Amino acid sequence: MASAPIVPGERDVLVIVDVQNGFMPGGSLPVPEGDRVVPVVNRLARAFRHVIVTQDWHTPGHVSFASSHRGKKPFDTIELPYGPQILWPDHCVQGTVDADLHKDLAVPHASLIIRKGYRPQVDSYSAFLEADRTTMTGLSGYLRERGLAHAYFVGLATDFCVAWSALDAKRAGFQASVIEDATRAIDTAGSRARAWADMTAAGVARLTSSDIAL
Amino acid sequence: MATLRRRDFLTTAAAATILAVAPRWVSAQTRIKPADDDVLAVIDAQNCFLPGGTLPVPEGDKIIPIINRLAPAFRNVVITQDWHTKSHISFASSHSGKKPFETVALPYGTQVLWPDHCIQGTPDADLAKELRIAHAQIVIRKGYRQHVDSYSAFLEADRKTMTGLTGYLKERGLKNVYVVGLATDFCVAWSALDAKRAGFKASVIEDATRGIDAGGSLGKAWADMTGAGVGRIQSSAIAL
Repeated sequence: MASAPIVPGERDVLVIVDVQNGFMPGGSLPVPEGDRVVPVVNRLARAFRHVIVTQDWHTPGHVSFASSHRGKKPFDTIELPYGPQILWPDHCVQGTVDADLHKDLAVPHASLIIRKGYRPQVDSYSAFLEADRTTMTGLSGYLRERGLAHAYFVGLATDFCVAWSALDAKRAGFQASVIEDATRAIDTAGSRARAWADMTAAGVARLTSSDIAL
Repeated sequence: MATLRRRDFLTTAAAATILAVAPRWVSAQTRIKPADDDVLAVIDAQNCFLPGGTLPVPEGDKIIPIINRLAPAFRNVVITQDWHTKSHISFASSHSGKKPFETVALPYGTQVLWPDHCIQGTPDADLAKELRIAHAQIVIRKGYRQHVDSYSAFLEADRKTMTGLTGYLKERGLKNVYVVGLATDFCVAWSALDAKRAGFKASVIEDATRGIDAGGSLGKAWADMTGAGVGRIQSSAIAL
């Protein structure tokens, strides 16, 4: 990038999405190369005074699990009261090692760990708004009260929890940027390209970690 | 009931109906069943405040099983962590010639000085390992600004900087905050008082807290809380 690197300030917050064992190689819903984001996130985090962390945090038997629907397989889609739901392998069950943050994630100055998807009947890719598109997670209220205005997203997966979070941040009135090389995608049925098209159209900035002054 | 005549039965049934719509009258006998707009706030149940920690609260460990028993009754649970930088301004070691439990004047007022405690990312700052609240929805940290302490989970010690917790709870429609944890006379009391000021109903579940009680602080905290309308209840009041 030709422009000067971004120096994160008092109104900027790094949002680390779902850097959990469940999404790492060897986890229950592995994102290809998911572990590669960890050192990049660690390096970036030191440049941000304000950091928050999200965790996908499902009940056993969660409605988003294929195993909760007879005859369904992971990556099938079903219709739920709130719309179509992709079905996943059982993953990130509350209090399990699979749901723990990756052990090498080093962000001791994170000020908040916020969990999502904890309602048995409602999924939540987004850190802001659950999949019923009506239940708010509380994150907008938290960020606004703290005067944080620009959210920089990193983590997993680009085309689901990162994209939905970035889009909802934008809708909630925040500036939103995704630092691409600090994310990895699942990319099922073209989901990665669609997520980027949606984000670009919505005005979510697409950055790389070299755009941030470290 | 079988021996009642029909007329008596109807009178009794009518009285029961009245009771059902008169929660204030009944509340002395009926346990509280936490609802969708109730939230349990677990304050600073961290190693540093347990026996063996850097700032041990007497019997601090006794509350962990009580909190574990209470938590499943609440659909909504938030957890706080005292989360200081190294050489935090609230540490006696950061002020030459000062000892723990002495005070200093800071720009925002009088600050009690503490032993170094709950430093970000250290085992001392970890949640108590016996704490079992898998369904907690946030872990919110406080006191992470080098030059500002924060006993309160809502408002830092400068009495200006908000932590974000009010905005979080309000957005989720949570209205009644039940406070447990450590220490009664500092982080629990300040959090309960600020919850009340922010427009929430606040109750402290006394047997799920323990105090430090430095210079009469425990008695003063309860007087302040009672004066502000913070409820004082016991864990037996919650329907488990």
